[in-house]
Amino acid sequence: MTPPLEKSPLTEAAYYILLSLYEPMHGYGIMQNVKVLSSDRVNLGPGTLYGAINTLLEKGWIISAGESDSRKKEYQITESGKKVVRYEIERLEELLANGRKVTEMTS
Amino acid sequence: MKHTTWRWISDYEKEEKWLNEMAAKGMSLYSFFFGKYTFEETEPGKYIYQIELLENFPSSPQSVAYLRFLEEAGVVCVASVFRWVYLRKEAASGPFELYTDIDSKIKRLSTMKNLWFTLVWLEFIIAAANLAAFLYGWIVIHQMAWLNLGCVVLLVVMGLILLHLGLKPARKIKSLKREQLICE
Repeated sequence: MTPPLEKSPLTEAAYYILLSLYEPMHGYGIMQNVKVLSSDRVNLGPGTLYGAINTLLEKGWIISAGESDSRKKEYQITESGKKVVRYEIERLEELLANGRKVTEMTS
Repeated sequence: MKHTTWRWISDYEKEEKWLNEMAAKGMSLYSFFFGKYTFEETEPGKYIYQIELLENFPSSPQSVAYLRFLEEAGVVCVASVFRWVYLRKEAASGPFELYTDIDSKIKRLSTMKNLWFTLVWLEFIIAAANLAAFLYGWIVIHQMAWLNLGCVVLLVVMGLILLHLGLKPARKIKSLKREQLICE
């Protein structure tokens, strides 16, 4: 049985975009922020980011929060988006705990 | 100084590679229209180019919104032909890759595959109509409609070229989907 969508694993891009949007941010800001958060590991391409933002908007996990001073469109996470992030953290904790348990037992 | 070159490249990947080689030499694409490339002299390696096939025509609201979004990220559209756009970004601001995960790469390749395969079908349907006209002339009214036969040959050749173009993204989609089973 497939779990409900909000409990499905997020992509790395979606997860980091949602995390970035706990504060309102425009597209390019998200790209920069994700880069910093992941210490340069995750570089979101603008095409990938654009597609992900539109999907997150459709799902209602983020909303458009007006325009910044420089007239760039800003986005922000919604309550249902925050719920999705909490589920994801729980899931990641499970993955992490199991991974540690198995590798420590056998090493 | 501006320089103009005429060239016909059907494979966008080769075209993209050529444009980036030119840019590395200090010849940056400035405008493009059906085989006519205009370059401006810049410092070598100033820009990186990418060619993209939009899902809608560049003047549609969806594409306008997308291109504006790209502009915020420092990506500028220098030219467009039909749904194809020529994008460039200053190399100093980091690497330029539009799509960075498997999902969105597959989506981009599907748009291309669909375009080529739609054209292939169109070519073969018109070729079939011409073949029918030729056979009708030959068998029923005993006249050789050479023009129709010529069209059939031409259309089939063009259809095969388009098929070749469409099979490239189709193959890549297949291998990405296999990767997707274990990676994001």
